[in-house]
Amino acid sequence: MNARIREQARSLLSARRVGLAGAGGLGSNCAAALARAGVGHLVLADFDRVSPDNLDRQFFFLEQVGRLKVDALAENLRRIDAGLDLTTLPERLDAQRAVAAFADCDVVVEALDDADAKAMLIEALLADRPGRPVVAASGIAGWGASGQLAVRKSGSLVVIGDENLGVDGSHPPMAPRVGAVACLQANEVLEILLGPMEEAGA
Amino acid sequence: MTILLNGDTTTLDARELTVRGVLAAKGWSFPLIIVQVNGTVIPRDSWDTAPVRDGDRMDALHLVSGG
Repeated sequence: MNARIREQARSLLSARRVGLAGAGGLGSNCAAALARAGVGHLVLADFDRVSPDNLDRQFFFLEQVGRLKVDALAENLRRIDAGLDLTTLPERLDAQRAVAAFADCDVVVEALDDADAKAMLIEALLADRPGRPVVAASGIAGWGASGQLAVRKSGSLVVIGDENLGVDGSHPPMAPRVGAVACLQANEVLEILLGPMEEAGA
Repeated sequence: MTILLNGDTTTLDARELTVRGVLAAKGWSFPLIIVQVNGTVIPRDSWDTAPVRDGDRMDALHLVSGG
């Protein structure tokens, strides 16, 4: 890879702001990928605290149990890039608050747990600012079935997952499949911010 | 009418339907769906009135829990 292209991409990403609604399995891992890629500004929203059960798939560590997820995540992200600009919102966002919280974001990543909350957030963000990209996830539970993980695009909305398997007693959330979708969300954010990659040999 | 439904050319036996009419015609009864018509989100409280016409593109995206 051409070092100049890498630096151009990082320079562009350093000026971009991405919102993450939820800092759990999807949000924490997606944020880590975005921070490593060089996105300069992140808005992290989550009301929850780190629990021991979260450590099987979320980007937190034993000694962070009990802390607000947004605070623990901010600490971990700054260990990747000390210069990151982070806004942390330790609250449960309703539609109105979500619209305000992510008003300055170039892209919003939907990384919530509950399907009702996902629908509320996606509808509110798309209705408020038509055309502003929203990258959502649906269907991340269980293991295997990698080929069922799809990326579907409709207008400015991207939905990633199998759109089928919700988390339940038979389908627990597990690190590889949750992490795969979180990284696919980050990958779509990069394509939105940088434009499509040049084809090999083009 | 013929519409592009989730990327597939789909012919429905009506001149015009509401969003809810299209979902019913397909037998889609998932509890949580995001609907976009021609790239614009149609909030669920408008599904009974928002029209879908010949040539429109409609996407129905199914949401399940997990994050």
